[in-house]
Amino acid sequence: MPLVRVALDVPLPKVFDYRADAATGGDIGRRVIVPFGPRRQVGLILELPGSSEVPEAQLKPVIAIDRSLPALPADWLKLARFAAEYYQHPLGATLLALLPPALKRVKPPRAEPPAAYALTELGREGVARLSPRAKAQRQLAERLLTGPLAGDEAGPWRSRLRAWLQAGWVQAVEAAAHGPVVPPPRPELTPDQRAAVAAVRGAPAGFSAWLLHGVTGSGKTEVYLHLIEAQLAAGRQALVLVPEIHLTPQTEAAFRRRFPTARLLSLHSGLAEGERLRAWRACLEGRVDLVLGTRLAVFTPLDHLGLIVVDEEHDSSYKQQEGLRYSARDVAVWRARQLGIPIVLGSATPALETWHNAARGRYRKLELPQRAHAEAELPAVKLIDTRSDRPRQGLSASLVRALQDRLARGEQSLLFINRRGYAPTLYCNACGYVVPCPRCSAHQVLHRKGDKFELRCHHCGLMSRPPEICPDCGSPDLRPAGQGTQRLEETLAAQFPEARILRIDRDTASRRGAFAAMREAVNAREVDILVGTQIVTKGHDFPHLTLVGVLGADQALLSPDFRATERLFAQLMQVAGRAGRAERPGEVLVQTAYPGHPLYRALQAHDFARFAAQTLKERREAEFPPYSHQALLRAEAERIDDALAFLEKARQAGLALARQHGVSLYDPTPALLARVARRERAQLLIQSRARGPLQRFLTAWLEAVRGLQLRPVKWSIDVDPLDF
Amino acid sequence: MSNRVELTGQILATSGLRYTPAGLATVAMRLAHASEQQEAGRPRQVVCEVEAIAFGETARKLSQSPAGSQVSLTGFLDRKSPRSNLLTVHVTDYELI
Repeated sequence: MPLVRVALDVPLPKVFDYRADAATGGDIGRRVIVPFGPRRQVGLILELPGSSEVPEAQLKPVIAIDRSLPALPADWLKLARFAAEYYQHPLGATLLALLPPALKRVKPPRAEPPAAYALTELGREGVARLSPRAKAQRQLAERLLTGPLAGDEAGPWRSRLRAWLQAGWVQAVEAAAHGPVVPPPRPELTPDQRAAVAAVRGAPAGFSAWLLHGVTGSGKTEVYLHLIEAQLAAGRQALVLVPEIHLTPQTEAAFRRRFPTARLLSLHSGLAEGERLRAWRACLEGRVDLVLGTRLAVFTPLDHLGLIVVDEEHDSSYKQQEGLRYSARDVAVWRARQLGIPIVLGSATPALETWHNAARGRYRKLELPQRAHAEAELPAVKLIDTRSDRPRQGLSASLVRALQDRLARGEQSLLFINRRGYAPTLYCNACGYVVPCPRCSAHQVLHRKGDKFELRCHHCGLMSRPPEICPDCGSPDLRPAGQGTQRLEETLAAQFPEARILRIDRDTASRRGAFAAMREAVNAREVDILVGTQIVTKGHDFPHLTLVGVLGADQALLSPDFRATERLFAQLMQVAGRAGRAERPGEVLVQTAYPGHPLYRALQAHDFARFAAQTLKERREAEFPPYSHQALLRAEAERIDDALAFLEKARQAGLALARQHGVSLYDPTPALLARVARRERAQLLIQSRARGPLQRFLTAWLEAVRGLQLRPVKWSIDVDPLDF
Repeated sequence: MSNRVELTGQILATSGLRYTPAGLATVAMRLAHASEQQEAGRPRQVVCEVEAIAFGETARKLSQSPAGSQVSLTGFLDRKSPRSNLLTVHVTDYELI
């Protein structure tokens, strides 16, 4: 009797057998609808087992196998299996999480309209014979004869196009070709760029991992483009990962200009469901040459992938923070190894894990130590000692003077402050009370909204009106404390009434297209002073920018998170890199009360290697990653005691196993942010010298953890955690 | 516990009318005080400057008095800020004179 083994989205590492009389080997990797308890569920067929442990009489038949899409290829299933095992996530939950949302529903997805329509040969013949009186049809024909018609232009012709699609007169194509068919002139490669391209292209076929370490403005993208070009020319596909959604339109435009004839797909979580499904189908059907996307794109099914590029590989957005907590960068490396292809990890400030891998020879390092633009120098970094030059409303006198200079010269400035909102806290000037979020162990942040204020919690999203009087002492003297982007914008407007000021943070840039519009305004020199959070630090060229001021950076030096300094250094290097990218030299002014701190010293020297060496030494002494491997068992409950008690039980259940595998189990502790949205969070750190024992321990231990009584507690496992 | 201040003075400078984040009116000002007081059984001159702050309706009205106005105020004392030993007069009522 033919059987199928099916993965379902259930919280157990279990697969399920069903009867499927018509199933064949070609159905492995296909979607299937099965009865599960009282409901129907979507699953994926993993194999056709010869027999089942389930007695024959209890085996239920499948409801339907979805053959409208090609089956997922074996190497994709293998990739998903690896992710499930490595990140200790149930296989079914993993597989279903990787499908586009439209395919997770029992109801079959509606056939998504094509991205664009193009005339076929048959269609060309057909339209030539159209009756002169069929005006509407002839209009459509004329439009199509000029080139493919994008789906969003198709409005009035939609039903006609459906008919022609069925008649074979038009076919679906991925996108209407944009722009010139002749690629634009390409910048000449610098010797370093040429050497990097040659090294990767010259490597023997098979897996190779490269760290492209290039200072800001050194032209890493140009290296990617050359490598991709070679792959496309050889008929292979390339996958390019970028950190943020708002980076994709910019990068997409650059890639489209360079490869006008390539079938390019852009993938990110901001796509509508239909678009995601269409992209998925195009990939499965092999109608794609180049995929550009955020972390989820690493799981795109591609059947002749030749190269993976991970841009800004250090970026923390590559790590998924819920469900399947994967690192897209690490999965990408695994995928390249699985397929035997090269992978290029690019950054000006590589993750210390990556840097360490390069130092150990696991990755090969390519250096671009100079800026690509011949005259562009790295900016001079100066420290402003805020103990002597005390900032007023966040701005030191030296920084105000520097801003004045730029305004007088008609040059742009950027003030970087990693705090959105008006002020980080609202505090009572009488008794010192700071308004907390009632649901989280954090303060509420004061935001300006028109001429009013509101308090927002950046963790649970709670919004409330600022209190009239202090809840503690009754005084009405409540004041904003500290600086946020909105307040800084206000201070600057008062200080420099003639300056055109633009604020870029998540609140102003989240609307679709808002970010691109802002970038254009800056590049058109319609802006004198930019105020921005880390959102501006990532890979944007602002050629007229000559001054970068940094406010409030010291905060991160005091953080208990061992990765805080690494992140701060990366951010500061990146933001400093925004200054002076064209012919004018840039200047970076950092306001700090710790001008002697080694981090700032390394920043002044633009010396990533020095910073990395210092920090890696500290990590080695503390046995932190990359000198150890970690996992975090997270638990949350309404009461912290329940969460801690669960973790303690889990720890007890794992002590013997841990000894056996040489793995350390630490004591359960409340999380750094112990309460979010009224849920108390605690965690248990597991640490090991090597990955293998940690993996084996986790697999065995979690089996036991699943058996624990855990009614009021929700738990999850985070392998290679980034946040504590 | 008593905490009451009665003081006559001239407004030297004011912050102008402002609002707390909740939208409550507030004004801060510096007052010059000059008077003759009895001390140890003898008259003496007092000349000093005092910081004052007001909220709500009092602030709204007080803010309309320009620098140079003479006011006679009542109020109480509190620290200038949680980390300061300086004192500020909180004005609860006043009259222009």
